[in-house]
This record gives sequence, structure tokens and C-alpha cells, in this order.
Amino acid sequence: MEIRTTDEGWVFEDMDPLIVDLLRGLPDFAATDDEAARARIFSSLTGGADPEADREWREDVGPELRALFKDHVDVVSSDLRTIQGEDDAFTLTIPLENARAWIHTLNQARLALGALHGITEDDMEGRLRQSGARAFAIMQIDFYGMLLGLLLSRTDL
Amino acid sequence: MLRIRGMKHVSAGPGADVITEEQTRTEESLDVPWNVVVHNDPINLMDYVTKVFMKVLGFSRQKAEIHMMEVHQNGRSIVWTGARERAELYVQQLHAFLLLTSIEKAR
Repeated sequence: MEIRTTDEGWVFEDMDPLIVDLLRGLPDFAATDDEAARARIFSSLTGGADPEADREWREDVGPELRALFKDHVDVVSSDLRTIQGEDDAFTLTIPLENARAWIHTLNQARLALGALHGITEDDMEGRLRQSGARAFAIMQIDFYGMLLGLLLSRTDL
Repeated sequence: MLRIRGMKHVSAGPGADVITEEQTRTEESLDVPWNVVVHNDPINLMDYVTKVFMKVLGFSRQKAEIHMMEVHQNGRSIVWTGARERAELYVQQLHAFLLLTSIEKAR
């Protein structure tokens, strides 16, 4: 994969099918219905210290955040539908104006994956030996993090 | 579009427009200073957290990095203390950026 930065945004060229699959999976991971992931994405006001306040928070703030997050995921999904190519040479362009939506969705997917697999600080710092789905999830989190860092480097939130 | 609870004239979250609304609070809620606490999580990138602090809380990069490192090393950082309404506003904005944030009564 080669990444070019242009005045208009970023161009990801020569992407192999695995990379394309990881990217196309981004909206589904970000918007997963998994309970642990939802709890992390929509965290509470008091962390459980005041259940009534936390319930009000979910009712008052939850819908607004869900709408905001869905807007971001929709932008990313739309960009992903423009992926072109075949065999081992796919291309994706991310417009500069969509960077915030991408940053948010990449982060949301990373957090969801982390909650889904119970990823810890030790996992992320490579102090534990991993295998199977958990190892793959850590690889996904790292890959999305690489992209997030790239976009963040030239984007004001 | 992000609706902010309890405050007027606030800055938006990531790419969001803002509508404000008034909300009634109890005497107790108004009286007690509240801390806005950001908690550590193993996933959020350090540079991302720093930029969110600068954006939402208006911190300089240096101050934002100090609080980011405090979160990373101590597990939490109190990033603001004051009236409950504004504390909730900050939590909502930090939640919009997916930082693990809560409020607690200041001691």
C-alpha cells in the first residue's frame, strides 16, 4: 500500500484485498451492537455513582451522540463505496473535508474492538502473547490507529 | 447536530452544530463544585487525547500533554472543576470525542 497526501486529501494506492477488507469492515465495527462496545462508546455521566443521573444522561444525551456518530460513519461508508481497482491494486481517496468523520470512525471502531475483546494496556503494549481472534483484533486496532494518526497529523479536530 | 445540556454559547464537538437549552437543576447540584474526570483507556492515542483537550477545554499543547500523561500514568486526571452545568457540558463534548469521562463532587 502506498499513501499519497495531496492538497485535496489522501490517496491510498496499491491496496491489497486484506487492507480493503479491513477498511470495508470499519463501519460495521464502529457501529456494532455488542453490549460491551456500546457501553464504552456511550459512557455514563457518573460512572455508576449516581444511577439516576446516568439514566437521565443516556436519555438526554444518548440520542444526540448516536446521531452525531452515525453521521460520521455514513461519511466513511460513502467514501468506502468509491474504492476502485481489482486484484492487488485497489485505490481509496479520502477528501480532506471528511478527515474528522474518518478520525472519529476509526477511533470508534478501535474502542469497540477493544471493548469487544477486552483489550488491556498490556495487550496494546505487546507484553502478552496473543493468538486467534484476539490477536487479529489487536492488529485491526493497530492498523486503524496508524490511519488515525496519519489523518490526525494534518487535521484540526 | 449536538444538543448541549444546560449551557448557552458553547463550542461544537467534532464537526457538529450546536443547539443550547436551559435545564432546571437542584440546589445541591448547583452548590457543589464538580470535577470533570478523564479516565485512562488502553485504546485512545496519546496525540488524539492531547488534541481533544486543546479543542474542548482550550488547553495549550503543554497543559494538554500534562493532563494526557496524568491520565496515562495515574489512570485519571481532573481536567476542570466548577459548576455542574458546565461540568456536564464538558463531559458531553468529551464523550462526543469518545474520551472516557465522568463527573464527581469535588472534595
